[in-house]
Amino acid sequence: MHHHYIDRFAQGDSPVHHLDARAKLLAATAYLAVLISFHRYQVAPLAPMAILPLAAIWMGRIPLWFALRRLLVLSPLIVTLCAFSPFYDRAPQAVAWGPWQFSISGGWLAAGNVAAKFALGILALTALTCTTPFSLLLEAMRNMRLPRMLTMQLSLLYRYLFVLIDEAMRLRLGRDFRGAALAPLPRRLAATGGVVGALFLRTLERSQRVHLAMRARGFTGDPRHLRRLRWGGADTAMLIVVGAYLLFCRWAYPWILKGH
Amino acid sequence: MEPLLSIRDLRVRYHDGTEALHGVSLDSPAGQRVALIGPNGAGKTSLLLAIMRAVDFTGQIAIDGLEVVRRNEEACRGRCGMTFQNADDQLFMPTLLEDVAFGPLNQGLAPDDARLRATAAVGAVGLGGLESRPAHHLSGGQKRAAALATVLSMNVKLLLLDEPVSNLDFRSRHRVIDILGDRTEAMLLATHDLDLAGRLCGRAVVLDDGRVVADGPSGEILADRSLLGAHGLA
Repeated sequence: MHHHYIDRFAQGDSPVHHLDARAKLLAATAYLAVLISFHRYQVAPLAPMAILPLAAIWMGRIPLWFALRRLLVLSPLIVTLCAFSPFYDRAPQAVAWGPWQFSISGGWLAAGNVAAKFALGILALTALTCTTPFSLLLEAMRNMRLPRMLTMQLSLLYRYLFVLIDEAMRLRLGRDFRGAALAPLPRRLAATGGVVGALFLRTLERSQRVHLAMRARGFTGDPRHLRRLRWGGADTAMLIVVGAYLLFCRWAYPWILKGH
Repeated sequence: MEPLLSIRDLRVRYHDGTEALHGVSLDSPAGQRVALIGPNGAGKTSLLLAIMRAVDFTGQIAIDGLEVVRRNEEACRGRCGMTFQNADDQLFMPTLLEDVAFGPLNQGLAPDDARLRATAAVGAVGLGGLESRPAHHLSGGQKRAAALATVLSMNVKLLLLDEPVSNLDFRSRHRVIDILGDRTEAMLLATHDLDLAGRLCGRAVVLDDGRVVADGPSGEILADRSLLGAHGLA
């Protein structure tokens, strides 16, 4: 069914795809930490932060439209948040932009900051997930000592999310093919409630069958896995470059902007 | 000689009061392939689940001399490999190779050995080259073959197969039959596909309404049209 977009491009073949998942996960985590650390009124200093995710997307051969579309899909909540920001924070802030200096309310700056952080964060996560198969990301998490039960649950979530989507689509088609669109609203709502209830029950029953299938193959609660990750020189080099660039973005560039 | 699988007066009753099996007894030696045939609701799946101790039962089941009770549960399950009717229930790891290696790793194999075993099993079911694919990127026939690979990669003595070829097209069905035909493990194959039962199994057991109603060479059982007709199989 139509859930191919979820892990699209992750099985590709590019220099970014070939990097170790641990290196990419570390780089993405560092990137997000630095991104969040910018002050809420800082907007222009965030500009060079766009280079890293865009470069990863370009080198990973992921179409930019795909990343931007994902951004659009997730943006309504953030746009609403940003739209209200100027009403809550009216304190004037002095802004210097090259030779120009002007005053603007803090709410507008905060809105710009939140929107930019959101966009850059989504681009970075898109670059990570579109160049790394989820199974390798899970292995990287296990390697980095994240709780094993958490990674196990993420693994099952990833696996059965697709089954759940398929089942939801089939149930929806079953409802729609019997003229649900023509039914009055109360009956349509009742049908939707039925779909949700059926999905819940099926999920519960499936979880019991999956648990049984795991026990039948010797699972006793201690997940064991194959090892597929290999750290190479390129991974170390990438981390050094990303680390140096993040230091530049966080400290050197704002310092330059201030005109020192 | 002691049978590999020994079942005595097996009764399964579910929590909602449904009685799925009413005193089933069955012996099967090592290497024997037994077709468990019967209409829907006859108790075929319940019998397989009871052998894996996945449902509560009364009576006795022993696998290779080891009684299926709580204290022996893991040891008994280690001697059996079971596939389910729905392959999606069987494939729960992020990639095909990880899924097929899951059982061998739990049986104590080192990761490298488990990888070799899993790669061989994936190749044996005709899915070579798809090792890094997630299960949701496999077709229905491929999922069924993958589910089979998950138990073929394990070192077991008894295969419990629940409708292994249902919903498969002609080619996929024949591939599964060929794969199973080459195996040396004992098999208990629950199906209402009489052609499959005849091709793979030398012995057939007819279950209906939770009871064994016939047990004998599959050639004789499958030729008995009145027997099959009386139990909704022909």
